[in-house]
Amino acid sequence: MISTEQLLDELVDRWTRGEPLEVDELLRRAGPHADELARLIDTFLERAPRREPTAESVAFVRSLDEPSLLRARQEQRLKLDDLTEALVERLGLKESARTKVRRYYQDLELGRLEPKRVAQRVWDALGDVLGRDARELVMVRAPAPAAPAMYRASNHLLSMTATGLPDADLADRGEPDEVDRLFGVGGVG
Amino acid sequence: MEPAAVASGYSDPRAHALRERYVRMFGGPELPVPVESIAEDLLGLRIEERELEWSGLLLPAERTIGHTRETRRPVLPRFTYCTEGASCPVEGSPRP
Repeated sequence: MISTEQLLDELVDRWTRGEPLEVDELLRRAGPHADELARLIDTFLERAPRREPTAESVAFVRSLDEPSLLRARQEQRLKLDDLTEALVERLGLKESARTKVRRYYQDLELGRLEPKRVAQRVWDALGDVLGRDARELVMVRAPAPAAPAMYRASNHLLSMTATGLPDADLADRGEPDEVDRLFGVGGVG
Repeated sequence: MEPAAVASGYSDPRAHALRERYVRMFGGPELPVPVESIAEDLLGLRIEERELEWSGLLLPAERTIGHTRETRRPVLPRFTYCTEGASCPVEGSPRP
């Protein structure tokens, strides 16, 4: 059986190389000596010099926070449907545009749309609805490779790498329409 | 306040806190629990259909709940949204 010292060495090697420490895995391998290994790891981490987080780590931590646009919408006590209705009205769009406007607004809220491509009319309408300059609330979110997908099976939390593609990305979007142009989607903007 | 109408041997105070926060923000009746609206309007999650081998999943960093076409059936979406939405508070992202 591998010793706690050997497992600690593995952790130190990972730390030195800047790799994920994967402490849970080491503790599992320590079996009945997990508590002893945990104390050794604590001691090491307390004494190890602090390092600056990587850009990926910072992006990941930021992705955990609630988007500012979401908070602004909630401050107005608006559901997505309420905000969509207000946007459709202010932009002078047809009722049939509602589904797409809802999706694109949510993309904006989640940082999936490039703000620079969104038309000024949309920012004006959003500012009117939210009572503040919405452009200042939007940020494009960097992908966070360190955050695995989560799903539940047999009461165990598992991680997976295959996340599938959203149907919107699989579907043929067709020719850009007015809503696409307003939100700068599909090669327009 | 835990609705007396719900008879269950299991109770998680976080679920009640989340529901109460939703009602404080958006109003409306507590029951039936508006799980889809809690996911989208309160937690800020996108719900979208995906090609998956499982019925549903949570992508924390993308703030997305993915579900298969199969879960369009009447009961399954509520189950999937509850399961994946509940993972947000439990797993720490996004914040409840």
